[in-house]
Amino acid sequence: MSELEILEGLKKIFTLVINRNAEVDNMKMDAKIVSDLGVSSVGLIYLMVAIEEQFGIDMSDATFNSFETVGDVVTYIKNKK
Amino acid sequence: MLITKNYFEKYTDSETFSKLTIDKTVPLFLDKINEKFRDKVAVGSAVKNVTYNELIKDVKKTCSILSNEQIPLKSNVGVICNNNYDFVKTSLGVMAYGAVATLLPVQLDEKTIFGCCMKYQLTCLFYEGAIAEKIEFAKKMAPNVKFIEIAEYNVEEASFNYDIVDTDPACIVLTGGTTGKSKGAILSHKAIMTGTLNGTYGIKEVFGDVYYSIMPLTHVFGLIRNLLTSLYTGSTIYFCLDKRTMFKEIKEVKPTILIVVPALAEIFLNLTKQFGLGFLGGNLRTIICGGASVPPYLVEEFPKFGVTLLPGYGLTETANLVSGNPEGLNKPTSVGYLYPNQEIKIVDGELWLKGDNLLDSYYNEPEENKTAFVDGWFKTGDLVRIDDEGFLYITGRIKDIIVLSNGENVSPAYIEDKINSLDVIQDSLVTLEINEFGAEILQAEVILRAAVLGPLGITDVQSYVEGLINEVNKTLFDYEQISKVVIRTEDFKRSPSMKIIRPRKDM
Repeated sequence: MSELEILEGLKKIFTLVINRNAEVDNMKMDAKIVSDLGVSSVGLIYLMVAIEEQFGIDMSDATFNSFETVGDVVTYIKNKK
Repeated sequence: MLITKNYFEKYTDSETFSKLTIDKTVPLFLDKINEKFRDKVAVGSAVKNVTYNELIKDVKKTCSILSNEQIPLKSNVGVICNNNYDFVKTSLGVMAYGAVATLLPVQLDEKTIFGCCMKYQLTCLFYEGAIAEKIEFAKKMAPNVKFIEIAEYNVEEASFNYDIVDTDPACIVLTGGTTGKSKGAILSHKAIMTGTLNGTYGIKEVFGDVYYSIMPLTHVFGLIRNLLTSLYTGSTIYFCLDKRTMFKEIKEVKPTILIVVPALAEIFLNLTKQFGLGFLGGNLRTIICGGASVPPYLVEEFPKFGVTLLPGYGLTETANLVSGNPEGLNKPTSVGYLYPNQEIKIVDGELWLKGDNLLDSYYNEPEENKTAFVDGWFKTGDLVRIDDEGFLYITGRIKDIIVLSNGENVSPAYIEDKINSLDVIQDSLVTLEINEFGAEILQAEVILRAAVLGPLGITDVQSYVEGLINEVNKTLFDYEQISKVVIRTEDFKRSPSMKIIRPRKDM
């Protein structure tokens, strides 16, 4: 799976929890999940679960504290696929 | 005015309603469910399904252990165990024996566990093998306490204690709220049985559910609305053993009912929107939501997936539910209709209660007991109003009141609830600030709900939100006006149960 494909897949999931929707379409790899995208602690839990489901991977070796940016998540998913 | 149960009769059929009768004590309750539901699965798990009859046998074995150890009746017996079958058979065993099950959260550290042994004057402590290491300190420092590791006991079944009367203490549940120091609320057999029954009112089909329990059993929401009401209704209960695998388990268990706090309900809603109702197993009909203020958005959105979300209100001190919304009645900002066998009084806006579900007192807390009770009435500390139809609305907590320099009192929770009624607002916090001119103003910090904001295509979000808040201001008194709106980009600081931590005031 290419990084771009992963990013597109993530956009679908992030739509429900990013603070301002305008930023989903332009979501960049270097966007910080909590401080730039404004994802709440409730949102982080949803994201973990949704990513596992969407990409069919097991994230039990990570917590959301492991990821600062969207790019960190993309790299993690790429390594798992 | 004593609330009676007749109000709830119309929400179910007469046969179901006629079965909703109180069992006076835990032994009588256990005998009844054993007789009615004998071979049905009471507690399920991936490893083993335990029937009602098997559960009763294990409870009797726990009674036997207590008897063999000559644990004095009415003494406090601690239970420290994860949310699982061992917790169930042990806590019920202690109560059916005639001792007082003192429920200690499993997260406590070793020194606090020892502290609880002393504070609650435990004669005995049942503990789960998985946390045996944490018990060593207490074992050393409190040699007079009997420490028993929970196991499959090879003993005869003892009979329940039928000398127990309904006013005898059944358990002690710790309440610390979000303010720290915990107090032990003593709940009688009558109180917890009343609390158990309260969970059955206002729902059409209440027997034979499948529960998936996420709330801790050391909290009344978990102990009473989850566990005891599940047993009362001949339902099967599964426990979430590891939050990381919660969603895999839910898909396998296929619960028909979930008892959750609003923050978790919001996560469930987002997942259901993304992946469909099958993500929560596909059989879900009802969500009971409490423990914090419930945004009307959740009440309105879940029915689109065929799930009814019913907000309720209660305290540890009221053996869980004081009020709840009945099915089919849409009052999204209310915490529902008061349950039976309670008397209420509203004093200076504060809800005072008397009733069968009320605590006896806090254990060993003379100062707290002096301030919490007045002439037999329990002061809840919650500000309320009741509408013409008898539905209850929480307007704030007394402890959080902002007192302005002009003497006016502002309830931030009251304003936050109004702001949170806007679908685009996920959460908010109202605080007193000093503006650049040195004047006191009320500020609202908000987190926006992306799922709602997105489709609106707004370019100037700040102005849009300020416009919405201005409309809210029109419904508030002069001194309650929000002057400044801050849209947060990061979440608020939250407690473990995900409530926003209100900044402390220096009084």
